[in-house]
Amino acid sequence: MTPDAVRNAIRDLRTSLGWTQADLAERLDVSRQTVNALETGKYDPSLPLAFRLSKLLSKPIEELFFPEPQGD
Amino acid sequence: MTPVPSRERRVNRTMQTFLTTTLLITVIALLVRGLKVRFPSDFLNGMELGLLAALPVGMGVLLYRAYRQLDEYGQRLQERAAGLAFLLSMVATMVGYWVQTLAGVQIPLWTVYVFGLLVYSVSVQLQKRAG
Repeated sequence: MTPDAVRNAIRDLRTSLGWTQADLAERLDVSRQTVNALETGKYDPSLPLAFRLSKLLSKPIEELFFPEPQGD
Repeated sequence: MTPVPSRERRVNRTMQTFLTTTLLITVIALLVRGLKVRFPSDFLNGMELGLLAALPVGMGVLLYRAYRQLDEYGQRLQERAAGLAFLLSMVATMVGYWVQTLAGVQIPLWTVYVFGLLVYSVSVQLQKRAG
């Protein structure tokens, strides 16, 4: 059984705050490449980074990350 | 112009130090070697050996520092690339050994290093694309 893919709302929340990827990277103390990988779903963050994101974007983790809807 | 996040600036600084230090030690070692050829002495011989021993140690310390400064995604990319490069280099070494034994040809040792570094670079780039 393949694990469910995880999607996230990071890009939407970031743009709603008017931040660039570099702004978010600076606040999270990661690289822009990491922010891009997170937003495009190429990389699922560790729990500590997920909590930092949650705190920074003022959203609970389950609203930031959610399983991709499965097609029938 | 988009500001570069501080994490990236720190890594870039360490990599610049790495390149400068490596170049500096190499140039000094070459100078000492040149001097040794003209004026052979035990002192210069020891100095050359010391510098050549310092080179991998210095490179190792600085590369480790750069690795520690990477964030979790950067570290994961490097770890996977290094693991793949190591494994494929081992395979290439074994295949190279067989070819040398069976075909009776000489394959220089440096080809293993070049092969390993190529695999490493390609692997990092592919992972950046694929995630």
